[in-house]
Amino acid sequence: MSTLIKRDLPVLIISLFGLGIVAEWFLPIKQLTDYKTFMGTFTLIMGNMAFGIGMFYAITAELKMLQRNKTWQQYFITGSFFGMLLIMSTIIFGYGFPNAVLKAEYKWYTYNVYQWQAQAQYAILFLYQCGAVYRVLRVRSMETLVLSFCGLAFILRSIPLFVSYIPGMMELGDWVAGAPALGGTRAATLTSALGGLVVGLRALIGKESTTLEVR
Amino acid sequence: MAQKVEQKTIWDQLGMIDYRYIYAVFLVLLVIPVIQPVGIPMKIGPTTQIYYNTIMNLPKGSFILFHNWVSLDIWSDMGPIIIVTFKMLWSIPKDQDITIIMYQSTSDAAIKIHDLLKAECKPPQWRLDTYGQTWVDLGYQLVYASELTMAATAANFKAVVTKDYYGTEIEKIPAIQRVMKKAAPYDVLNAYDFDLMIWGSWGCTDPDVYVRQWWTAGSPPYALPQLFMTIGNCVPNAMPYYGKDKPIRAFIPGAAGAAELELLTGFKGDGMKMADITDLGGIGTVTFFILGNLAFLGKKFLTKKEE
Amino acid sequence: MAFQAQAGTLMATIVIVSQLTMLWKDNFFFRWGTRIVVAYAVADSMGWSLYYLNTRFWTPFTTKGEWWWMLAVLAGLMLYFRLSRQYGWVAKYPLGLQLGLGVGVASVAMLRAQILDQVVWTVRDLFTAKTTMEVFNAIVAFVAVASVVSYFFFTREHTGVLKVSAFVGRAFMMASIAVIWAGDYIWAMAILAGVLTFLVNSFVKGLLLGMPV
Repeated sequence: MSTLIKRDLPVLIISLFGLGIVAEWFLPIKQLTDYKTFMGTFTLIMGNMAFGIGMFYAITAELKMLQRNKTWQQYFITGSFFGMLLIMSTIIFGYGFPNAVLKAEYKWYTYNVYQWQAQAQYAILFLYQCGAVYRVLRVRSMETLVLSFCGLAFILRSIPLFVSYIPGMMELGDWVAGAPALGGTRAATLTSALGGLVVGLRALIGKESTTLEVR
Repeated sequence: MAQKVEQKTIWDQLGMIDYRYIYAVFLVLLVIPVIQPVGIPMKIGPTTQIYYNTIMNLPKGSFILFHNWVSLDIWSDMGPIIIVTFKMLWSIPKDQDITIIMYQSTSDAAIKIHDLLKAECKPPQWRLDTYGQTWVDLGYQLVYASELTMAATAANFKAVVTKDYYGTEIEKIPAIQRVMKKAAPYDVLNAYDFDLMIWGSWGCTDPDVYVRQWWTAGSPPYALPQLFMTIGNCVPNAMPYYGKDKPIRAFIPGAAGAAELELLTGFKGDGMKMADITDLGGIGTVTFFILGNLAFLGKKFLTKKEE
Repeated sequence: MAFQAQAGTLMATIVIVSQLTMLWKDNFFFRWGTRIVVAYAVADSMGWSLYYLNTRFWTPFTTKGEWWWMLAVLAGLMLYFRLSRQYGWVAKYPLGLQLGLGVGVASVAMLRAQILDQVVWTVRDLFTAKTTMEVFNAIVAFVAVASVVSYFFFTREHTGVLKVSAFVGRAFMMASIAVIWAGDYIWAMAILAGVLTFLVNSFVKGLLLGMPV
């Protein structure tokens, strides 16, 4: 009974609902198309209801960090985390819910905190990559030779200085992206799609036991 | 027992520069053009030309589905693309009778787009006067919350979209009514009704999803041609679908691509500024690449090996 | 600059500098900057989810009597059971639903778009190429696809012809990895350029020196 409820029925749900969508592909009748569109909205509402899970994990992770590391710095960080959460929640619930997300105060935090922090994080990624160009991109094997040549060709193709003053730079960069890299990516797309298709079909017929593991 | 102290050769020293010096050099190289622009001429690439031609040479009376892609966390790179694309669309003459249906599917876009529409991307007055007839803003719609919602939208927009940004039910909007009547079924707005889709993403697996659901899906297949706004590292993922008879007709990769488009259209903006700033960064890249390889090759071939 | 804009520029600068300090070494200022944005992101996701639920569930439910969306709400609530060790299995139902639907919608389309079409286009490009360059590119792409696919052939040891084709396949894979990495490099460079532009123009010139931005 336990196995029926905890494993077999969920697998049956995967199969039934999934095969309904597959059937719509082969039998494009109105009823199956309506089923697909209905389930689209259904899963949207279902997914949006689950926002609390992420919130729970974020809050518990923050509290665990504080528990492990009771220094004034961690207290400050955790306090800032909850402070920001409180401010945003106050704006959301206290400021014309549900349209608070379009208000000027909400945008202030979006444009001045989120936008620039995220961009700054990606900006330092560039500097780490500069270190990698220097330290890692050395022509010690076939792989690094190809990596260096193709990588540099595409980088320099995107920079006006090199495109303007090195004849053929743009054409070389476009060729690298359009012929050897195209072939590599096409093959990777093909092989990963083959694997994905097999896993998907196994999931639909209930053979993929790893798909529904819940702690 | 005396320990052997390995003498560091010039090649070792050349190959072991502290990372922080490298960061400092690149920071300086990138700040200089911000203060004093370099102003190096640019060239226009073939994909940019095709992107431009595809939009500007649309047959009269065409319908465009425009996904307003905004990702504030990479705004410096993708912002110029959406701005110049908007300006291109707004520059299409009135007599071309091009109808634009746009939507936002990320929260960043929902916040940013309407600020853009009031400022840098303000529609021309004739468009503003004919809202609902020549263009529609569907607002924030979770078209791509998952592949299923995208599939559902492509089959019938009502699955995800019920009202436009201003709260009007979509069946009551004249432009939507006109677009719906383009292809059967005539009472449903779906992928068959559009001539071109302009969409953007920096998820490199998204070309697979969009091609599956807007080109391959449907019976007969929707075969909706697409223009793809993206960042540089998604170019290889778009290439398998790129071509004149393939799903992705052209793509714009990041600020560099936007710079080319700005040059082509004459709508100068941040793309050209970003491209200008990257000039000295490119010199730094080549320099450190050469230094690193000099160090490696020097150590390998020019250092006497101890017996 | 208006006060709100000034405060915003200052806040943005503090957050940017907190991230840039990571270049020296990991420190509490950097961690502070990341954590406040995590808090923002959590609240943002809550805000938009509630906005969407109001639009697509609550309004149709209360004004048009579309009661069936309540089932979606209940299914969504079932997802919270994954937080429980004892009743975590309850979450398998809505997860199974999403999984089945996601797999169903992708599988068949994947067969056509990512497998059949890719093979057809690789071969067809050889015969539709007009100029010498197009023919050459089509041949290179064909050889690349064939050799990379052969690299992933793991049921036979890579010896003889397979060894050579796998070697060539590795080269072509490195080419596509190189282009991906190069695109990433350029993208990140543009982001840094944007950040530095903000610091110089908005913070230094606009806020500190009071110049028009």
